[in-house]
Amino acid sequence: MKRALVVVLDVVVAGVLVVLSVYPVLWLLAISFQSDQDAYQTPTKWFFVPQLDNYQKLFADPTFVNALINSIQLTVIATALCVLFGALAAYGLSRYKIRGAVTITFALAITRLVPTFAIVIPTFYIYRQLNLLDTMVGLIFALVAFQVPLSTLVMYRVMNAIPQSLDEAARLDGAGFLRVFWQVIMPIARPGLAASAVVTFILVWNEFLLVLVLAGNKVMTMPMLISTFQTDKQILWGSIAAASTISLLPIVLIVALAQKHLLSGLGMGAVRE
Amino acid sequence: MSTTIQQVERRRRQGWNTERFAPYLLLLPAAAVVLALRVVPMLVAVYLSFTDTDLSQPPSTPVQLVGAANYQTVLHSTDFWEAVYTTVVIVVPALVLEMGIGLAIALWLWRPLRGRGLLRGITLLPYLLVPVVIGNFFRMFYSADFGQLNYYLSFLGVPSQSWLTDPNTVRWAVVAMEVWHTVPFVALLCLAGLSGIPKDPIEAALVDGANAWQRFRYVVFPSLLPILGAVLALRAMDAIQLFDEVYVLTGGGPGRLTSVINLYLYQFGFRQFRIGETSAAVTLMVGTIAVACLIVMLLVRSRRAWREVQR
Repeated sequence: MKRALVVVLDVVVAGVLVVLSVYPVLWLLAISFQSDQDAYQTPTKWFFVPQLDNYQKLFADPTFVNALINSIQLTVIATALCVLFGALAAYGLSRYKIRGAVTITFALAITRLVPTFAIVIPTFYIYRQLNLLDTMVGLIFALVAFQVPLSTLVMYRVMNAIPQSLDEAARLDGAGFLRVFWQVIMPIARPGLAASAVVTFILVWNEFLLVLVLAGNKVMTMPMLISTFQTDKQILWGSIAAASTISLLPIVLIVALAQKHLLSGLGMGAVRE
Repeated sequence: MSTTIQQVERRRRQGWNTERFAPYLLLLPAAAVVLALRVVPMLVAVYLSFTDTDLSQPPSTPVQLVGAANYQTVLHSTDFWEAVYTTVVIVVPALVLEMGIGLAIALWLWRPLRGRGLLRGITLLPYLLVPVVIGNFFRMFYSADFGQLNYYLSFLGVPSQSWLTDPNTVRWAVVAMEVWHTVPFVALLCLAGLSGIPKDPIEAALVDGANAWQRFRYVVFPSLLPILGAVLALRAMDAIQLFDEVYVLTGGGPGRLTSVINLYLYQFGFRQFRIGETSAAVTLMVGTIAVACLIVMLLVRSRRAWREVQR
């Protein structure tokens, strides 16, 4: 009798947790396929004939298409650079006796303690002098600088777990350090690379403050675009919901398909997974 | 014809080849980016905080050193202290609630449950969603006229309210959004910490007849404490930097009621272009955080030393 009660209680708690977690995503999804009259209904209509007006309107709008392309470009390039730079640095730190290696790793770990704003304000000033404001290159490197400490730390653990004997074997065959890194280490480190890439991808994709300050007109990204919807006098829930749904798509896909990588990447050395 | 590792090493040391500089070449890309775009800007911020740089003037305008004037302006500004106060009254309740709820969920997920992996994945979702989207969703959710929150609360007999314009509710509306957003992170790290706790003492306590609360209070909680501390520190660092969601949800309003420190700095620096004062404010923030970290580190170290003495 008590056992049955526990099972029922578990089911109820699980149900509440799931509903609370996915409600916003489902609500935005539903609203994005509704007409403007339906969108403002209370209670929300959960069963309706879906219509694509909101999406058609969005994809006909060059500002939106531009933001989507920019976001994809920015995220893919910045993530790739981050993971590559992080893996190179982590390999160096784990394989060679570098003077001050402990200091470097410690410095990487505490970069998180410096508020983003303390970096963004002077970066704005520097970028203005260098004419890098509102450029894709400037934005990419600013984002890489913000995420590379984390990916280095994640990769450092991965590199330390790969036995040194593998390097030595390849070295005996006369391979240079870059070839060892590229052809021996990188293929083995693939799960770690995936973990690092997945987390970096989400963080870059979601980034708002940096884009708001350092770019914004030419190099508009999805979060930037979505934030401008609020200042419009007429708030169109349908368009907001459709743009939001599109921006959440990669995140939901990652959670659904790469959960294992995500969890080990998010653990980020703070706690063992 | 066998090559030994010594021969390879010797060949490596001879002459100017890249192998000699391998470690530095490996570190170079990451170090260069971090140096140029994180370390240098911080130093520039310190420099700017002593100048009268005005961003509304063209970049070629000469700037003057003004000593500590910017620091005085910031420290005497009621707006600045109001923003600090707002941040505290929003962040502290949010941290308390998310640590409590996150730990509770982690403890619940810690038991053998069917579909635990799936549940863990689904409950992680809120933490990963685009913050701007979260802000927009909650704006529609809290909406006085069409919002779903008022509809759901009507079942409990709660009258309709305009959550985001009422000074009595708006800060709690922000707290609730933050808690919803970050509980998954706390739960995930607590769960990871719980999986690292040895099972033997818990089973011993069970044999000795300790009830669930006693097992938690005297066995699980003490061994989880270091991780809870780390999670709290991580969350606190992120929480005082709250920006994206609030920018979209309220824009700092009504009035300045939800103008947390980052929103205040943004409006001050980039709407009024007073970058000298803004730099002084961020320099003060970094200094405060550095001192706080130092104190925490010393406390942890002295506690450890104290324990050694007791032993």
